[in-house]
Amino acid sequence: MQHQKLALPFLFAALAVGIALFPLVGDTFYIRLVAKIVVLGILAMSLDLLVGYTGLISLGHAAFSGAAGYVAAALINKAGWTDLPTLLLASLAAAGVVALVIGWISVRTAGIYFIMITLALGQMVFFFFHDVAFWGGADGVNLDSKPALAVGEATLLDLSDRMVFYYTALGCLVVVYLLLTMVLNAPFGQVLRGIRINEARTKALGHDVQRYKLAAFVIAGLIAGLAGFLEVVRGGFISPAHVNWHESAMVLIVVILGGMGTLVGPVVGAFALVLLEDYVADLTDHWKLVIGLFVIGVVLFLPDGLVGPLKSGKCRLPLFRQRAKDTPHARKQESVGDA
Amino acid sequence: MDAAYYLIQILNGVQYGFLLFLVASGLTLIFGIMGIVNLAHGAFYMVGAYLAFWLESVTGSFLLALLIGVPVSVALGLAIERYGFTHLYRRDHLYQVLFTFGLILVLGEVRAILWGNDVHGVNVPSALAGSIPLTETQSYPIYRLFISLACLATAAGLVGLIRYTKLGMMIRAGASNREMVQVLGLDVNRLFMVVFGMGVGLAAFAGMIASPVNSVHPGMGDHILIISFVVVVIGGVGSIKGAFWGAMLIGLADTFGAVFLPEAAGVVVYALMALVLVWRPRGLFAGG
Amino acid sequence: MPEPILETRLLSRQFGGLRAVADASLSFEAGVVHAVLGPNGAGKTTLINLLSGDLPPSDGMILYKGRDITRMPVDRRVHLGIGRSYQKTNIFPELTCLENCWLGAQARLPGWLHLMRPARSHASVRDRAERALVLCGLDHRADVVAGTLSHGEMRQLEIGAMLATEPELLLLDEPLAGMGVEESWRVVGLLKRLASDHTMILIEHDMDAVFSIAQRITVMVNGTVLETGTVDEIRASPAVREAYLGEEHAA
Repeated sequence: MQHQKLALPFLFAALAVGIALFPLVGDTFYIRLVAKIVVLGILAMSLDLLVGYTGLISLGHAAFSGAAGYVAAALINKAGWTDLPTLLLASLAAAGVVALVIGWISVRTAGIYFIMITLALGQMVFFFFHDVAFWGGADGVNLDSKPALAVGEATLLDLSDRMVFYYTALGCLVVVYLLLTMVLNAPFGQVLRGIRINEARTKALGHDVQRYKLAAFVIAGLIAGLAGFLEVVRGGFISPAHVNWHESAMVLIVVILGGMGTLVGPVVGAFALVLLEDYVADLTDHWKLVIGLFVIGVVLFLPDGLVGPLKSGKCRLPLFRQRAKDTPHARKQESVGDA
Repeated sequence: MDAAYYLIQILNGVQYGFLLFLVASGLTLIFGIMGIVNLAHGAFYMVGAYLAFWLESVTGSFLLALLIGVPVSVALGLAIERYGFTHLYRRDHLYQVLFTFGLILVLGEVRAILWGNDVHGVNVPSALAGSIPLTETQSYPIYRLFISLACLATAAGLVGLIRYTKLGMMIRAGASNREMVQVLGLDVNRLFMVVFGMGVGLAAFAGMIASPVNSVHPGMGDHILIISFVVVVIGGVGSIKGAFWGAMLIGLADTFGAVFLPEAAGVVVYALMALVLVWRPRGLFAGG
Repeated sequence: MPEPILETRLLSRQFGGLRAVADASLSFEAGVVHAVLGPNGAGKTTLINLLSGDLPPSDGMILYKGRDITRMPVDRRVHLGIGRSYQKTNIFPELTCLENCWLGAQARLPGWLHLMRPARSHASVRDRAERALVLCGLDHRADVVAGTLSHGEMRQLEIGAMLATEPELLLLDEPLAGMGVEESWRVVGLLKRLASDHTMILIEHDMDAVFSIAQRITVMVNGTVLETGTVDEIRASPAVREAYLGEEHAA
């Protein structure tokens, strides 16, 4: 039992070390790719907080990362900002506000409604950045410069330097993992787990579940904002495609592919998907077909994800999962009006 | 901006609403009875449109395109239900979401292989070409009226089916209590197949008859999907009546939104949805 | 006459045309075990749902210790000292018995945004959870995954989860549902122990259990309150016999 509990953190540590050492052996192209994977991993972990730990299936997650990226780009290009901490803070604030608003509307709903609303509200954010000319339109914007952390005359972190960015991103990945682990082990995380397994009973045991769900949403949104900020700095570019719901769906796939509810699973999933996409895109123009079939395959044959088997101590008997879904609350959610 | 102009906008809004109703009713039935989140619903709309385009250009007859295209689309839907969805009924919505998203990618790419990524137009059938004069200077296309009528007829048929036939009774029963239907020994598999086929058929049919007025383009499936979701959410999942009024509301709001607030047109629909949800989190007609 | 701990005034709940509970005016004394009886469809579970806050009323009032809680949500009622157990076992199957009691025990923590210290380091929560397990008789099964428990043990845990919130008033919906003789006897013993320092309102069909625990009984038929009184009064009442007990004895 003790061994199982340590398997996942150990896997994460091994991954982190591997990523840290990779530049010693990898070539430029793959270093770039791993940086992209690391940022996607941060985004996916934030979604795992919602999906894997709280049971909230959000299809609009890209709205938060995209909003952060767009705000960063606008501040850099139009206001000439270059200071890393202030840019990051502003981006996080943007993501946090979007998460608060979308979250407040969404958590009042449940089940299928929740999925559809997060999708639609996420698309609303997409249209905002796509239609309003200030943000650069359908083609997107290139970053004029990249932020740096400077104290007095000395530049401590220049994110235009590829290796500096690489290790900054890795550092963020580790910090986010530790932060989320802490939150999930705290009483707050216990309630989230209760909400996932049996929301009605959790409420009946004295917890204001709406508040918790909103808080989880905002925390996830802030971390997604961090990922969005890193992504726009990494690629030097942002476009409405970053905010489209297809992007949200792909992050969801990364979470499931890796194994939801594990934190490290989504990072593994990020590796798997990005490497697969890279490989397939080289083979054929119609790589979307392959990815689509791959997604279908994962859903049908690998629902626990790649890391799933390492999950410790959970009762995986499907019979009992069914029972939790048969609660009065779940049935209430599923009941519908007359046709 | 005279009365005739507003009349035209209203007619357009209503026509759009009818079209949305066809698509949304399929979506709401599939969810209400089968409990499935079907993100690929828009893709079937697109399939219908592309089939209409291709069959019309091959056979020269729009009518023939409809007669062949609808059954083909339904057959495709049934095959997907049989080999894919059957495995997902007991699973969490999450897996249905991802499965149908995978379907979107697959169907989209197959379409790209078969017919490319270009934007196409479909000719209005000559029998329905032409316009009805409203004033001395403005007239309204007959074909658009035809769309509204066709949708209305289909809607009437749907309501009739649900209210007055045995199948309809099973559908209503399934919508309010899926488990009970199974316990009563009714053939749920058959019911699901029929419902899914109907849903796909409605979406494809809508895509087909809309094709002469909307262009046939790669993104059309996604666009109608999200709007249909908004309609279903506003109307209440599982409610045909809700789908109807939701569709009319959205159809008119979107049309007039484009007139009065062209820059914010895309946002109007979502703002409306957000408002409805704050007031009634389960839609206007959910739960009786 | 001491202030009742819980009082309802003309409490009603409608579902479309159906009046599941109609004008129920009841008064529950503190420290008393009060049973609600009635044939199926009498409105008993609806009544409990109204009292716990799982269902909002269509009309009427609910007062707890003199305070209007009619519109108060479920979670806030828990903080006032009202606890509820369910007819259909409503636990957390993938968690251990201790973890099942943890969430209830955690409700008593001041504030809600506890993000930093690990949950298990909160000794007060742990104590409360363990106490609840002892009370419901499952302390020897603390680390067993709840989904693997026997039916009877699950019903015990159902009550234990509620007890972890340290309620004063217990709303129990058919605690003995689906139990065999041996298991029932154990849960009845648990209920008797709880009766000594809690107020209990209980729905139950097992007549032997009811008559051995309850001190007051309310009989409901078709959504309305037929009669309320002591056990002896109800047993002797001809109206009740006709409406309900007659059916039971025939069965």
